[in-house]
Amino acid sequence: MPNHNSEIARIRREIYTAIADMAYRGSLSAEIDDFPDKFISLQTMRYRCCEHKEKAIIKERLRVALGLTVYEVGKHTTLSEMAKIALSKPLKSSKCALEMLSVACDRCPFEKYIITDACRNCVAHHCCVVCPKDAITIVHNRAYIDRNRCVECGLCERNCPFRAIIQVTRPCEQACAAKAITRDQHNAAVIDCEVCVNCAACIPACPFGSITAYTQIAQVITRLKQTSGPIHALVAPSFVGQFGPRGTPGALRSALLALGFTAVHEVAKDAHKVVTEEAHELRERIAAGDTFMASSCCPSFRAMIKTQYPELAGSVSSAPSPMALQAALIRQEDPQATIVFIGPCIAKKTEAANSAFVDAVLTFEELGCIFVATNINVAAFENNGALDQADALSRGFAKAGGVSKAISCALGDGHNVTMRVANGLEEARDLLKQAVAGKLDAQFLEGMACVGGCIAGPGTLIKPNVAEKLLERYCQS
Amino acid sequence: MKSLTLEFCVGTACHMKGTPDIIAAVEALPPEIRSNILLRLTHCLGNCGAGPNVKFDGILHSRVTVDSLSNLLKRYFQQE
Repeated sequence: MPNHNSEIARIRREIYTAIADMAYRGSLSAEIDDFPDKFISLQTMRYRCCEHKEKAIIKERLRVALGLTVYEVGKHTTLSEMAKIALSKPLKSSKCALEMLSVACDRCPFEKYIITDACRNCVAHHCCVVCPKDAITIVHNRAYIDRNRCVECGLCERNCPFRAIIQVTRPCEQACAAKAITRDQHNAAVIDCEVCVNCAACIPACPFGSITAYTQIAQVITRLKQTSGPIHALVAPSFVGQFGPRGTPGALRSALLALGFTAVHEVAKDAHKVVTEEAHELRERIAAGDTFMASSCCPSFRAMIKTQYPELAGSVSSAPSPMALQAALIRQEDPQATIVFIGPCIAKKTEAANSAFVDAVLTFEELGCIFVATNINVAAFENNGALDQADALSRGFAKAGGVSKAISCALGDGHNVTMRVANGLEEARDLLKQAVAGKLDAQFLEGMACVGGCIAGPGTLIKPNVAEKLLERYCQS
Repeated sequence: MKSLTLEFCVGTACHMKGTPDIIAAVEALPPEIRSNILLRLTHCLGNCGAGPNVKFDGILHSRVTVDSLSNLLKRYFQQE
């Protein structure tokens, strides 16, 4: 779950706002070189060994916020040169959404068991006795674990009466359900892009803020400033309440139009077509003897099946995600349209990269920073109705269980299809393992990478429990 | 016990800097204190660069945190 009020979120938002501000005033390449100096001297240096490291980290954060990978820039590329590269790129998401900033990674200890000062060098030495590999000896009046022998079984931790042996796991590795985080030769954490499903659970998990997501803030603002051609905003159903109690659906619509979007759509508008297609497919698959079908709307869940359970790839519904469908419909009507998806999700950035219709993805957090930079106050706009037209079941996609509920309704009363919701990737992994073994007790599996569904996504601005209540109210209105 | 009017800015700039957390902190106060607080929401208090802004008993406070607000509340309700 994202922590909206951490120091890391504050720094991230200040950087996004600064990028948006400079891009909006058209002075990105003129001013960005001075930004690290300004940012670090304004606030006293607090976190790292010296201000040079702080500045180096800020420079890396700016690069990623500009949407540039480490391969697109050289070692000595200045920020102003980066800004030029970023703005000259076509409006397109990158294939991998996350980057582990090696300079920001604190290289936390990775030995799983550590002996602490609480060790009293007792007489019984339970740790030495229980160790099956004889890896523990006494050195300098204290137990010592020989790393070459230790198999990380944990018996010593459980048997020390002083609890002097503790288990440590790197927070990023612990948060990663896909097990995509490994170590390089200098012990810095690295993300294996082939395994990563871009769920972004590692972003709030890392207390040093070393994982960041590429953004298209500067590119979208530059496009918004060109008045040539229509630019459509596609808003995910989890938007409800994200911009505060006065940031009502009608006010958000007006704010997006004020920002320069020519049209605002709810992704949920035509999601009922996805539901009908998915329900139809499910019925056909069951009739054809398939044991189960998995939902297709969550890109991280889909990626997890593709990379880790390839034998189940055929079981994923062929229905497009509501975002993909809505974008295709808009493009059909208006071939010149630029389409920007606005949602809570970071994995959608990779889905958009593979889509022919979605040009850019912004999270609610990124959009909020753009509003701040452009002095657009969502709360100041009048609440004039809904964002767009959509039915309650489609809007309910934003909550875990919502897809199953919509499919269940589409199947009609008295259907006997069993459904399960994988609420979060950890649960998804367990259920997919059961599916591989043929032991899954459900014919439809809804997968949600974030625990609670999209309303708990990494790009949100309010707590999921608050968002859930507001979403329910909006669905009933 | 005396009553208190709190005016919270829910404009986008303050919202992004943490208004939701301080509103939640007020809502979570014990009922005997919460019942004496009149909570108002406004869309701007005119100091957007230094959010979150709160008008506490008519006086504007900027860069309010959950801790600083709870200190203000403690002082206010102990005065009587």
